Amino acid sequence: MTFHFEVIFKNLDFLLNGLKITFLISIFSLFIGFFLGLVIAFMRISKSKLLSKIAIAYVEFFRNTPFLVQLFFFYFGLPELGIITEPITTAIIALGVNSAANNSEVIRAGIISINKGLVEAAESLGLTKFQVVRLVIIPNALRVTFRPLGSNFINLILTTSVAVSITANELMSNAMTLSSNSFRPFEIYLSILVLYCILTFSLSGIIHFVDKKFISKGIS
Amino acid sequence: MKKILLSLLILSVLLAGVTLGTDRLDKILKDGKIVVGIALGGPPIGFRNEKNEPMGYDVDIAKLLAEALGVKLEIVEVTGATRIPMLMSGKIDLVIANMTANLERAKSIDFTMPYLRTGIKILVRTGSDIKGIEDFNGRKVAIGRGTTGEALVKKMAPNTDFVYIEEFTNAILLLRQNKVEAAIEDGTLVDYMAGQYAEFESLPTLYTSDPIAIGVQKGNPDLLRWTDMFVSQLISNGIQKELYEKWWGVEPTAQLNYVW
Repeated sequence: MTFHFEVIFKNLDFLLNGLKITFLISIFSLFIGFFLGLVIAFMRISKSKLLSKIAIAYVEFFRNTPFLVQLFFFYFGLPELGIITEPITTAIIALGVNSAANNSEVIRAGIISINKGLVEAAESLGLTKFQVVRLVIIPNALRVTFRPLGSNFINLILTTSVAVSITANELMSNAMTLSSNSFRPFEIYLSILVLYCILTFSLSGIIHFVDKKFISKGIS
Repeated sequence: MKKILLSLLILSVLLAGVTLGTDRLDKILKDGKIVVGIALGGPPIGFRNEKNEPMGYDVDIAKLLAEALGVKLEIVEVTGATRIPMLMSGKIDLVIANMTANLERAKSIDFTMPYLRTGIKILVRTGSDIKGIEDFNGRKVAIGRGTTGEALVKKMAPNTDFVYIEEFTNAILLLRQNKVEAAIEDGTLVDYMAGQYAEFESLPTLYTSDPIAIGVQKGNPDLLRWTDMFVSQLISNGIQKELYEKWWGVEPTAQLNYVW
């Protein structure tokens, strides 16, 4: 058995183009997932029964169905209703709304864990309801949930590889194309495993750094 | 301890060498079972019927082959992208998956003599302004990874927007939902689909004349020789022609030659 890693170096541009798309999908779906997750978490704990029920239905639906099926529904199902879909945007939206369901549960747990006295103290200082949410609840909830959210984000990056199934030409797709033209699956898939590792390790490095430097600082 | 581990390692490498040394034909006959990789991407080559049973031209060939060997047939579904890696890694004994035999692939696997001949054709929506591969530049085209069609388009229209598909039936969906403007595949599949759906047409140009052959893992001369002879007899006794007529409803476009 001999290995020919020159196939990687010869086609590095092609693989890096795929990495760019993977990065793009990751970043945008990460933002959608985070902000939508925040909204859903607040809906879930809101006093309005209707909002809370909608949030529960949303979370349960997206957490109890396979992501691949959701993706196919968005990409191949929705066009039957006249909605035009494009692979990369569909992947971003599907990943975003799916991870929002997971993120909202984590954020909700963070909000619940906040000491009631802290909120009451803020209210007695004369802060408006919105100020309490913005200045007290969100920062404190995120402080507790920063690391679990981080692991959700890493999961999200790894799941982007599923987008290959709806013809998005991201890292996994370009690796498959290269593999079926060069018949070097070992070298190619090993290399993109390393590329995914670089992507997720740098993210977890950032999470660790931010957590240590700014968030967990002062908490013992 | 280290020495024991090292010698165990060397021993296992040697044993692996010994098992690699035996021809796959012996293993198939001993196990009483042959594992064939077939693409079930769409009729008439290979597909699943309402009962989820594999059907099609390639499936029939595999059934006849197992029958002639006197062993049980196990079908493993493969795609254009997985068929060669799976054969090379020994997960399957043979590939009967509408695979074109070419010199590039023949560096990695062995081919028998062709059991079908076809050429690359283009499928478009009826009335499309695409008249050939030259019109592909800057437009979205559904292509299978690692196919003859992909190589052809890369050469003739490098600025095509490649939309990679795993199965040709996906091309039908993509064409219908306006996600691609054309699809490129073997004429056997393109003509069949154009005949099934009035909304699509097959362009007349036949870009290649490709031999479709059975793939065998390298280093198995006995299995290769046997399979080669099987294909030759399939042609000489007229069964290949009958099968073609069964699935396409017309006489084969290209005549195949036999050796034995």
